[in-house]
Amino acid sequence: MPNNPTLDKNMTETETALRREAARLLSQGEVAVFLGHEEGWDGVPVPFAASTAAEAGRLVWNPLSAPHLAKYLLDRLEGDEKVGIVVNGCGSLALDRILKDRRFPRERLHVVGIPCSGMLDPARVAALSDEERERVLKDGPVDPGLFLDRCSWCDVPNPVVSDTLLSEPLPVVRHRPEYPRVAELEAMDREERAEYLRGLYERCIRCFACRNVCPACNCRECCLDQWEPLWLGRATSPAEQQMFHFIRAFDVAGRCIRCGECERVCSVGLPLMELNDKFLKDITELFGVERPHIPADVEPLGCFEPGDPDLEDHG
Amino acid sequence: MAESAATPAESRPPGTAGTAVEKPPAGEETREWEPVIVGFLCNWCSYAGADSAGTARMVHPTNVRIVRVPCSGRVNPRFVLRAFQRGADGVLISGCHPGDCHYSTGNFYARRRLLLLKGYLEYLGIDPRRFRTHWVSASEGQKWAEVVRSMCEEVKALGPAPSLGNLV
Amino acid sequence: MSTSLASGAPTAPKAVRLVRAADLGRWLDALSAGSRVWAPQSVGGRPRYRELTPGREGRLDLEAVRTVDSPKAALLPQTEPLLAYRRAKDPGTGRPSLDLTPVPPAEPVVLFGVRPCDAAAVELLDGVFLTGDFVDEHYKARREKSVIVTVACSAPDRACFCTSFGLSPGSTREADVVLYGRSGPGPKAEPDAYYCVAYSDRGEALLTSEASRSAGVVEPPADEGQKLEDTVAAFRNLPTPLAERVGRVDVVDKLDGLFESPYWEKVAARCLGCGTCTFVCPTCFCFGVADCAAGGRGVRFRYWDSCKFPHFLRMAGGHDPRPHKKHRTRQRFMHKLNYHYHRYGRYLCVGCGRCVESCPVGLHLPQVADEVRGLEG
Repeated sequence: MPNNPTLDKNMTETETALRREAARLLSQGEVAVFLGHEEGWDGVPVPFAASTAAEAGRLVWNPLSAPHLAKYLLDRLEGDEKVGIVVNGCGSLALDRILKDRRFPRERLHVVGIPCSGMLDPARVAALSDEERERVLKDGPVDPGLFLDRCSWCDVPNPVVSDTLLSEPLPVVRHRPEYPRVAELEAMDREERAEYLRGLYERCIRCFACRNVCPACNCRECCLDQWEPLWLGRATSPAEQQMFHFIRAFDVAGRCIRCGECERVCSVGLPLMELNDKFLKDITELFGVERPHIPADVEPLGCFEPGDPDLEDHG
Repeated sequence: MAESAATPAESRPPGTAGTAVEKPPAGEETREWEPVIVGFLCNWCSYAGADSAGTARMVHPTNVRIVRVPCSGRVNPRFVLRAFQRGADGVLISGCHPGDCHYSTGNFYARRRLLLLKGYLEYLGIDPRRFRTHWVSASEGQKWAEVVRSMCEEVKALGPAPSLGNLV
Repeated sequence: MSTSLASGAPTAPKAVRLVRAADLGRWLDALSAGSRVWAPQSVGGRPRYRELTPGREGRLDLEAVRTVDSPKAALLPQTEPLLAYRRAKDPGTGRPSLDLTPVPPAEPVVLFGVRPCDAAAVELLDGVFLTGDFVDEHYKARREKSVIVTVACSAPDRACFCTSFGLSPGSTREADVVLYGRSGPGPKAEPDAYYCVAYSDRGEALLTSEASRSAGVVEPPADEGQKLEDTVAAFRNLPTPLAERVGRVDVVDKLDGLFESPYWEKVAARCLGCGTCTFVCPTCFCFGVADCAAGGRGVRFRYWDSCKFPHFLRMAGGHDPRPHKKHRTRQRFMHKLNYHYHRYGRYLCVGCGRCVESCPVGLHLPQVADEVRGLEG
């Protein structure tokens, strides 16, 4: 069952509450820095680290506050200062991913949570005409196609990690994840699929934005950066291009939160989640994990059942 | 067809069972094409199984280039992806039977990972017959020989793996 | 800002022709016969600048405001083999040796449909690779066999700021031929024909070649002389939207004193540390050299590297002079707006707007250039 994302009508009040709360945390010294969004040059919210109460006044919360912030915690591993961060439902999954992977101490965090009923895709909104954009951002109604892909299956409107909630929790309707894009690919011939993937990943410019934005790609040193062993050759040959993405997807298998941030930041528009979704789908089918994108205390690949499906080939 | 591991295991330096033969360089393909299969064998069961096949002088193909790993749980899926990328015609992973792992549970973890890998490789367009997983214990030399023979035949029939487009 | 070419007025046209938009495909086919041809194409829904290869995905898209990737890859490929080697035996002594094979010589290439800013970027790359104590043979070989066919911009978008660096939507810098839409600039311009003006001998040779002539590149009507001049002037005088906000960028002196500014921490706090900006940038030129080897054979190649990557400056002993994101972010902007100016007398930016459009977190050069003006120091 698909989700029906909507825009929160009270975002302006939430934004005011966010600024107030961040200013309080900063001025009372509870946190040394607060991670949120500020308005970028083209009006779209961009990640922002406020370090004074005055700077907290620049924080924004609006229908385009899509970028997740948890990954920025890894820039602040040094020292012991406390960090404030704002998260909505899916943003909290990203944060939880980093916490469950034990990459940032929970006790150094103050999490401000905002229940969320949907966020727009900044790129899709940017493609609208000026009047249309104005209308959408002011009072809607909003075409469901303008929301982020992740909103269409989200059933985590309320933050799973938070110290302060800025508004009332929203009702939760659980539904089974579906993976239509994987099914589409699986329906192709194997050769056709190989050809498709080859053509697809040839377009990659190897900027690593997908990896850098991914909350599950949080290793101390990324294998793709290593020289010894050389997991990824530096040549942008078709084989290496594919290997980059095949490795990237497998390395987050069982830990991907299905946020799709990788796709959102891809400057050449690669449908990267086609690979990640394959793992999510298979994890459900093989191991019976119903919502594999929700961070768990023990990940699907960090455990086993003696009765897991048989692996041995007979031939 | 040649004998594999014909010398007793004790007289060889460790880790040299089934020593790899180089692919004939391009342009000198006078011999019949032989597939290159990379095998990841756990030290405690399958590697010993391959050894026992050798000491029992069982005849089986030498196409498998064996990489000895402490446990099938050591096999990072990237090993397999990289092997295919660099031109392997097939990859074989073999470990202790479930329940018999030297480290109790290593192969159970491996099983989950490799189950995912199997589906993934096919999804990436790699023929599933080129990737096999088996449980071979130290006493199953016969089974090892059979696994290698059947896999070699199958991969040979498939022909060389399609190139993914390397620089070299 | 008017025809503000820092190096003075454009050189006089050497040849003028006219080509109908409908004949462009034919012309490209004709050019492909003697050269490799690169052109802006729509690939997977995005404008990309790539080689035209029969059978490969991609549709010519001359009016895309900017391609995701710049044309620099035609002169400085993302992966460029430098030599090939093979393990061998010395026939005399029987000792092992290496057979070295140089890469095949560069083939002639036409960079078609380049935007004026990207052509101007080639001038900056030339400065790096062709001047000073070291001349890069590989770049030189490609560059000498290249012809740049620019298409003047009819509708610069909200990310365009070439005029901030003294260029213009009709700049002829480093262009061998410039195509000007006959209907002049305008937001909805879909020209039915282009004036083709050659500004160099190479451009003249291309325009007047038999291949071009037979593909419909013809003499313009004799009475259109004035119209051509007006059209060219209109393109040169076209403003660029983002430059209206940024103004003329001249911050080299300001940045001299800002190396230790806390501002860089603010910038780094937003940076994702990816290499998007450097890889889409037409003027970023940093590269690394590596080998790809197997079975006794190998290729040594160079590949684009990025100062934004954590391993970029790491040395053999493990020391990294730029260990933090702050250092790496600062490096890129300082290089563009200060270091390069000190070495070459030019800013390392042409205002193409790619970082504005592609940065996943909206961190881009014009904003930084604007913000540093207001900093203390």
